[in-house]
Amino acid sequence: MHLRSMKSLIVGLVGILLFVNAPVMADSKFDAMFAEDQPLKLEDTHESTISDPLEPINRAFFAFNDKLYFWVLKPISTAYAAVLAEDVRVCVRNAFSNLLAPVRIVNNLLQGKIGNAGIEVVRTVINSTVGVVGLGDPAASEFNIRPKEEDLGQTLGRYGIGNGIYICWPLFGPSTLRDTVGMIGDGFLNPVNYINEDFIGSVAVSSGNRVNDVSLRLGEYEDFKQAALDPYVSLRDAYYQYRKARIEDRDEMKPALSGAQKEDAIHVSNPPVLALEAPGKCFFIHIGTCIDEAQVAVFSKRLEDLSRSAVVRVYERNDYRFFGIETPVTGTFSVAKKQEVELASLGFTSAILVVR
Amino acid sequence: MKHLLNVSSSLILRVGSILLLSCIFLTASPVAHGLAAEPIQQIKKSVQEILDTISSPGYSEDVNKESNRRKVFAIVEQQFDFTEMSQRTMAADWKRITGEQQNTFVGLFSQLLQKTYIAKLEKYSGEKVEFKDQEVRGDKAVVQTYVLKDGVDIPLIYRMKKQGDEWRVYDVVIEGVSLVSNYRGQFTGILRKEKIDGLLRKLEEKISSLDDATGG
Repeated sequence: MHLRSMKSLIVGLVGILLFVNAPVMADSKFDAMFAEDQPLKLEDTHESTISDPLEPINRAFFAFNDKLYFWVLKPISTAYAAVLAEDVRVCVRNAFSNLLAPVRIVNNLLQGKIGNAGIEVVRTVINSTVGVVGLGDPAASEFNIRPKEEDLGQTLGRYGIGNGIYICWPLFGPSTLRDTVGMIGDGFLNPVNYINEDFIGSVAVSSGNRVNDVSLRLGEYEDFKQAALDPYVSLRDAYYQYRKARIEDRDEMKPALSGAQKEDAIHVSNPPVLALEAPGKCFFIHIGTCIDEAQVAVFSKRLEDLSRSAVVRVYERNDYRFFGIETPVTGTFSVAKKQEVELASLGFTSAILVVR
Repeated sequence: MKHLLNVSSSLILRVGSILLLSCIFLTASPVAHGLAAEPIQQIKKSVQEILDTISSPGYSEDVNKESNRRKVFAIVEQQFDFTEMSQRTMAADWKRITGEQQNTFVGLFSQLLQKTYIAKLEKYSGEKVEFKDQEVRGDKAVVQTYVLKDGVDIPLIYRMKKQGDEWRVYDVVIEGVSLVSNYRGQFTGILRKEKIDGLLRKLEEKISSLDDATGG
């Protein structure tokens, strides 16, 4: 353990030294979607995605993983799926997901998402008790509390560390230098690695998880490969895009919710630049108005730092539009009034209580 | 290194699922003329139509297979703007090829998309689709949907462009991965090494291999 922690520390430091660059965060809900569109037309730009100096080796490992899937993983998973009902397999997946809660909690905290870390704690408590050691997911199914997926690779990305280079690991599949460092770090938070002192035991448990996962997704890799002209490049690009969206926490990546909770959830998601109708008699504290989305982002960030959510209202007046930033209050009028004063003392000088 | 197994275990498969579900959405609805529908309404109606078609009794029977596929092809063709998609996947290279090559490319690329998705469509097993939100800016729109599969929400976004009275899809973004960008990455590499002829040949080969696989 000691040797491994030294190793990961060194790799981490090297990674940080080599690949710090400026992060680009999405400002509002669909901004990234529209923004990406602009240069798409017929501009003469070669889109730089991810550097891949190890391509020949990576391609070799990609081919290895491909064979591994078709010759080993798929036959085992197919047999496994034939023996165990889907419900049972979903339970197994839930249990493993529950075990990985420490990874999500720590990384939410590292990214300053105190609220999300709290949600993960609540989820773990519910699922480990009512959900019978994580076999069910009542936190999601009954209470509609969804997991807040974060890992160290995302945390590092959030801190502005670039991907480094693309790496396709044998067995583990696509990754980057940064995400590899992240995975090693997260490994220390994975209880499975502490269940057995011996290496073989942990590998067995981990492999079981992998087989279970594959059994629920049989056929997807084949479909993916079938649609690609160059599966290696397709997977590399998909990995890059997928991770980028996760790091930027794009709203469109957030889970759907249903019913009444959905409405609440939209209200507290940050920072959607959308006009939202609140249910009657809710207290909000209006903290300022902005002329552009950059300002909205600044306000939202400051609120986020205080673990408060931001509600952004869009006002359209003839040719221009501006944004009103508010933060919702849960509680009575006197609670809201107290928070108004508190926020004003924290630098939000125009904080004013509104009822909607 | 053993712990890497857990953290990354589902990633390759998750990424692999990117192209899987867009099938459910390659759908079309002829919109009433003179009345521009909201993009989200248009997609919603289309998805419903296609789901009705493929889950209708006898859809998968061998006798009907070809005609049913053609029916779905026709719907798909109307909803998607394959020319726009082609231009976007070729990006700067679009202007460097001849008009004839452009036409051949559009034809082959749309065939590839249709064939890969029709195969996946036929694996549809009752996943629910939720239509959440839309945003329109000028002649562009983004429509957000979710596919609920095995208790997991898969976010899926359509990028649409208005043409006359209709909104037509030119990109599908699943779990943050854009279909157009993904193909562009692949095509750029092939074009650099093998030029347009090599790309067209590869597309042809891929399509015929798909035909062999599906017997269609």
